[in-house]
Amino acid sequence: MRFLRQANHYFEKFKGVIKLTNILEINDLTKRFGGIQALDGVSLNLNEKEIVGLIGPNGCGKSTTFNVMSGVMEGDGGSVMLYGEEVYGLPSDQINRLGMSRTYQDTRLWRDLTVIENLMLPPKNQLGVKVLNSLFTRNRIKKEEKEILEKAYDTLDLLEITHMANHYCSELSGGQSKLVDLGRVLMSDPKILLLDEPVAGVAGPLAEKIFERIGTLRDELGLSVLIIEHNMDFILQQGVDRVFVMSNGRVVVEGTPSEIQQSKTVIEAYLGE
Amino acid sequence: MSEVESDLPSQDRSKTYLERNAIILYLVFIAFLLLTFISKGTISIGRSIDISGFNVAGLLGSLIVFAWKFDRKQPHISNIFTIGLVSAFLVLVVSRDSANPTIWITSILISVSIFGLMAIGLNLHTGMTGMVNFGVIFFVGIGAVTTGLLNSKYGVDPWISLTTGIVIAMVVGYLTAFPTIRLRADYFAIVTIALGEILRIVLNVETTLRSRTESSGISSPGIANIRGPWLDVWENAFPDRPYLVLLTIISVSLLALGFVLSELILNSPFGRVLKTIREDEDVVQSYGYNVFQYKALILAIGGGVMAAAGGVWAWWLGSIFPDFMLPTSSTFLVWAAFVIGGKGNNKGMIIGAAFITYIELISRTITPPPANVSFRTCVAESSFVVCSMDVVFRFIVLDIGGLLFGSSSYTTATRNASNIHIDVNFLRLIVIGLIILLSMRYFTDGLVPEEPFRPKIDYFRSSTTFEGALRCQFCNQLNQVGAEVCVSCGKRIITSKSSKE
Repeated sequence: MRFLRQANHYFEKFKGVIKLTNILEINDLTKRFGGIQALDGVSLNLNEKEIVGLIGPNGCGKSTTFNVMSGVMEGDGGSVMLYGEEVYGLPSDQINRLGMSRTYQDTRLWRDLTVIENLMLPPKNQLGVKVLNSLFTRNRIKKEEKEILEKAYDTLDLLEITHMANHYCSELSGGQSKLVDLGRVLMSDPKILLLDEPVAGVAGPLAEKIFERIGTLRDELGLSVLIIEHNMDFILQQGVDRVFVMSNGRVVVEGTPSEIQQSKTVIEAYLGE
Repeated sequence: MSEVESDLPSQDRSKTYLERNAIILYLVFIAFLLLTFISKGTISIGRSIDISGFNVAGLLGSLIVFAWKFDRKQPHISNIFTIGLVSAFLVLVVSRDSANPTIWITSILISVSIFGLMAIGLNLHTGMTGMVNFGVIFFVGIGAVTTGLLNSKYGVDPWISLTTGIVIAMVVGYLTAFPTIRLRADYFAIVTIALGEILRIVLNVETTLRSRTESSGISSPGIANIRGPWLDVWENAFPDRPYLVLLTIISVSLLALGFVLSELILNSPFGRVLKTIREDEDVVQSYGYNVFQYKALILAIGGGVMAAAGGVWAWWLGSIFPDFMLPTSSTFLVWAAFVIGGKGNNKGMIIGAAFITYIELISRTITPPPANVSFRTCVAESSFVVCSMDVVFRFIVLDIGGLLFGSSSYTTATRNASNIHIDVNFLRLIVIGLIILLSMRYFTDGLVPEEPFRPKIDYFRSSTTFEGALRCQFCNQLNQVGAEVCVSCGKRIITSKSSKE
């Protein structure tokens, strides 16, 4: 806890004084599952207000990178610097509170709850999540709940799924689940957004709209976004600033979309030699 | 129009399936009515169960039919259903004639309160947070033993003993979270079973917990002479009324208190965190919530509620023996109440507790029919129907039961033994097991399912679904773009930002 406070303190201090460019820096991340070296020294970085793509063939370690850096999975070594502070090995809730939120590839919505309830959990610093507050400060909580509800409806409007607000998450289709998941992560007011295949299964025009929307959010809120996307052609057309290409647990190429399109290593990684 | 239909909530899609079940139940209800009509209201099975019980069962059945016509996941329907079931139960309680109605009614109400409190505690642990707790009796036992021991051995005031018991159970509940933090569903359940058994066996062998019986000179396990609160005050004020009346008032108010506490928790943001932990705790953790803290807190709160039930139980029984902690007479019954009532809904917990209490009472008052009845002798009897039902009942209980649970069936073992005593207590477990089974099969969500969180807003904002239409989020009605209120439900329309753009 002391460390968390310290990290927050640094964050507040840096925000005003220095313009941080390199807000997330990952060095030499390793992870081994039994005999498989899932991550073999992955190094990435993310600058402020930047959208970065992370692409690669199946099983190359994209999602594992996310799991280890967000604290969901224990890694075997490496370092994750968030705003210049080491967060490697911290539990995922503390990393989230520092401003880094993530989504999951298989959405992992809370299925037996309604869509609107799913969206109302992530906002930070809610009064009512403390048990004593929830029993004794009912009026203040009611007011707060109303604000969160408004915000949740705004988010649903943004993603064009307002009509599903009162449905159970188990009743949603695959694409709708992806949208609710995206809405859920936006509700947590992140500074850094890790999106794991946000538009897989979403209809083409809407997928493009989502990417457009992520771009506007970046400009409006100063978000930095790291996106895993399986479809290389798609992500290269969507105006990402930089792309990392992974293969066999390593980052093989880093560059702008135009550089990636011409790189032979990338074609080898995707198609084999 | 096809798009409208495909968007309907799932409860509407499964309507035909539910209606089929409702028809079956309705037929059963009519059969009960016919039976009453034939017998002119005097039938009894095994000469102990009054037919009025069946009438009320039919009433319950019709209520279920009534409720099935609606979406039971809506709060107001859930309330109507709860009121209907509880009033049916009260009719049942009052209609039972007995030598001493006060004792009868008070003991039913106290029993419902105790099981209701336990089920509410279980609902906090399992229904809301998803921690499968088979050790209800562990927390109940802590409450009962502390209340009993402090009061009978050290003469502490009953209320202070109960409070101490609750506090100890809460602390123990909080500490339980530490070794079990990494255990998921089944493994956590195993640990809780073990905790309950540990306490029972300790209670069996620990000398401090033994009561002293002066006359026989042998000390038996258990705690005796537990006095309830305000016993002297009551006996001075109302010498001709049993103390049970006061205990009923106390236990029912404790149940109300537990219910309100649990409802407040369920409907608060804290409860929302708990429900999401039930669904997927890793994701909750990665949204910035310390899952361990929440689990520990709810273990403490639920443990406290269960301990309160234990304390009232100790007051009611007057003396407690390790036997009361056998899983078959406590934990399984609470689980049955939990499953029947509907997990995640506190009203369901009270309904389930009432259900279980009724079955418990039937099984305690039931007696085996005389062994020498047969269809041949029934012809001579005044009431052929009563007698033939006795024959059928005897066949089920004695012959089939004997085959299943004894080395040989009753009739093959002896031809003429009218005075053999047969324990029909096992019937209770069979009936409860059957009810859990049927409830799992046909009422997966219980009688009163969990109410979904659907906050009311006085307007709806709807995005365009396809060219030229707005869908109301409340009734799925399609409206023209630019309409001010919904055609079907009359709610105000505010067009969303995205469709304005």
